[in-house]
Amino acid sequence: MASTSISSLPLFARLWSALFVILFPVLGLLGVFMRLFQSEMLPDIEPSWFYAAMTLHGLGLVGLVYATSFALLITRLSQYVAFRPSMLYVSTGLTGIGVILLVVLFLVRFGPGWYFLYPLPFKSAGVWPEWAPHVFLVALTVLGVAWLLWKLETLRAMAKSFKFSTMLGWHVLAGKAEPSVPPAVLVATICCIAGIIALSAAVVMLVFFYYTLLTGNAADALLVKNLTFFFGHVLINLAMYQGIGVLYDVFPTYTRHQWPMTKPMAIAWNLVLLLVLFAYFHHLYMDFAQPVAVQIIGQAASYGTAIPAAVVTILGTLAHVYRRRVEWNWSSLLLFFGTMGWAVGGTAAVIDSTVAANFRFHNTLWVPAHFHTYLLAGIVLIILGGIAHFVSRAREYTLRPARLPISLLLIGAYGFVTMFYIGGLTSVPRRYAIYPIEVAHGSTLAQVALVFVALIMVGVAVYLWDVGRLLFLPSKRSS
Amino acid sequence: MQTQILAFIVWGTLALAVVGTYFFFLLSTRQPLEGEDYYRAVGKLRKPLLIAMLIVLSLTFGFTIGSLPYATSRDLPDRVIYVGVKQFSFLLSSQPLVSEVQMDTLGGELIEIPANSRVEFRVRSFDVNHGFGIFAPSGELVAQTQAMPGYVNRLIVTLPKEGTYSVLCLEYCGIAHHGMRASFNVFSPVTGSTQ
Ligand code: HEM
Ligand SMILES: [Cu+2]
Ligand SMILES: [Cu+2]
Repeated sequence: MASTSISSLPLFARLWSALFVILFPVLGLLGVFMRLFQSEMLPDIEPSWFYAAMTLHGLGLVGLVYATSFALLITRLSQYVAFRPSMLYVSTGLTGIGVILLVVLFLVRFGPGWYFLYPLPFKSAGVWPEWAPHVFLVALTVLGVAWLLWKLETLRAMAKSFKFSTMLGWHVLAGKAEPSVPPAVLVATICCIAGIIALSAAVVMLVFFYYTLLTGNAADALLVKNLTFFFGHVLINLAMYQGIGVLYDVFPTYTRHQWPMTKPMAIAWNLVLLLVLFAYFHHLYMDFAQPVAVQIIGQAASYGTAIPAAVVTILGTLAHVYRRRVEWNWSSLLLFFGTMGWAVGGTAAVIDSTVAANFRFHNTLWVPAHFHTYLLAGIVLIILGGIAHFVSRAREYTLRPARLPISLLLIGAYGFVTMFYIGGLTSVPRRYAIYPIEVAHGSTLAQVALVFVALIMVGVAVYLWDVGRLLFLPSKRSS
Repeated sequence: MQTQILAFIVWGTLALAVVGTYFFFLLSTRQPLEGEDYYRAVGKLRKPLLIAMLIVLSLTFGFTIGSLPYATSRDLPDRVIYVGVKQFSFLLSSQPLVSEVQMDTLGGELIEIPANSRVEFRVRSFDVNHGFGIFAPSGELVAQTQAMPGYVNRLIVTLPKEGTYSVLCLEYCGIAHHGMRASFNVFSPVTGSTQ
């Protein structure tokens, strides 16, 4: 079934890879700006710029990793199923419009945060203009539509080649080996279903915002917060899961060992679909008005999500390499270590999803600590590894085993997040442009973090030279 | 032990174990053995890992789920402190505070709480979401709840240490989020001193 070509969508893959290698460093620089600000090295700049940068950095990077991991997954899927490229480009174009609007909003210092709680976008305390929330809602609507279409097209394309129950691996659960369905199809199916549910919740959330905008009446803040986090939580987790789909499909090329769909894998991903929808309650533990039963379900579901991840994907990755002649290079090493970031960050997430711990950690730097671990040291590495694989195949280029730059990336990323963890340990709040006297040590942590960020920057620069550059050279094959 | 320290130690230990495991497997590829089905061999660890995780997670769940911070309607505190929050200030009052105008009319008040008494903070917001985070004199975050428009959050705590506690905002609420603050004193009912 699998063809040998890496993709029947070479241009699409190249477009998203190029977007990623440009936008990831640019949006990362906004993070550097925030750390500089928290270090008190930019005393003449207004805090409103910090919060605007925080918003664009958060929304931009979450959106970027979500979209790029999905684009790479689609590129892999296109070996097995036929997409209508026009649909993919429509989604890509709409995403572009949404992103341009977000950048415009940054310029007027629009800063409600990446997860924005009702009704903050309407209550700027004089910072951003009155039209900003209108534009923001339009931008989010455009992005929502783009990504909904994208997921629907993917489901359609897969359903043409596979029966729905086999896409979910139910035949494997029933003990049948045939038909053989690539794990990437299973993962994509789970991500499409969860994604469509989450994006629908986002639509309802936007309706509440539009309602207030048009009628001036207030909506229920707790209900909207539930919708916001349901959407945000699922979205950020899907970004990781989509990357795992890419991992299943690409990693075996370097270990020379099949990664077929097995019963544990099918069980795991069906479970993930269920658990990811209920774990989001952990974001509302400190809303004491939320029913207690729901808080308990949140802790149980959050603990539950750790199991399929560890038992199937993490263990599977390790089993793949054990005493095997693995071809270690930019791609395989980044994919391998990307799953490590997922494991380390996931552990911190499970701790924080314990209500009793959340009482002390909620909205402290523990939160950016755990999500930067599985985003920066996790999914970003997986995406960079996926791009390296794609580039090297498309250009018949042999990747080198870039041990030194990858070491720099790892030391930099783990050192950087460790400063956030220490911030959580010592009660430093997240989302503070300036640290008050009680937590003044927060700015020392920010300074140390900057040293580690410098290491990340060197590692990324070498990657861009070794790998990223190839994306922009004129195409070899078509000439 | 302080919750934060315990959590940090647990995370640090597990993180080092994960990193160690990854490097062990990475280095194992230096001595490849063809022919052997090591994938199977490692795969045999799946069931033990599953069982171990189920046990550890269930035990942790069992031990922690009893200490929920939520007050029930039957919980009767020794005293109630009313908290009003809006962009960008807190007002702590011993008088009932239920409407936004009272934020201006009630005026500031020095709140004194006896150590080890059960005190309820009844938290309301009058505009956007805020957080109500209590920082002990040592700077440690000891308790928090959200302040949400349209809802009342009841936070019941017992504060054993005397001294000046700070209140900081723990939900991003706009441009001066980091500048929101209040404080109160906890005194020893025996000596009557706050120090
Ligand atoms: C070198 C790279 C990076 C640096 C220096 C950096 C720095 C920061 C800083 C300083 C904050 C604010 C923390 C606070 O609340 O005080 C932040 C927030 C955030 N970052 Fe990063 N970051 C980096 C990479 C990433 C990546 C790769 C992602 C996602 C893929 C990401 C996603 C986020 C998100 C979602 C937030 C939260 C924004 C909010 O609270 O509204 N960051 N980052
Ligand atoms: Cu979450
Ligand atoms: Cu605030």
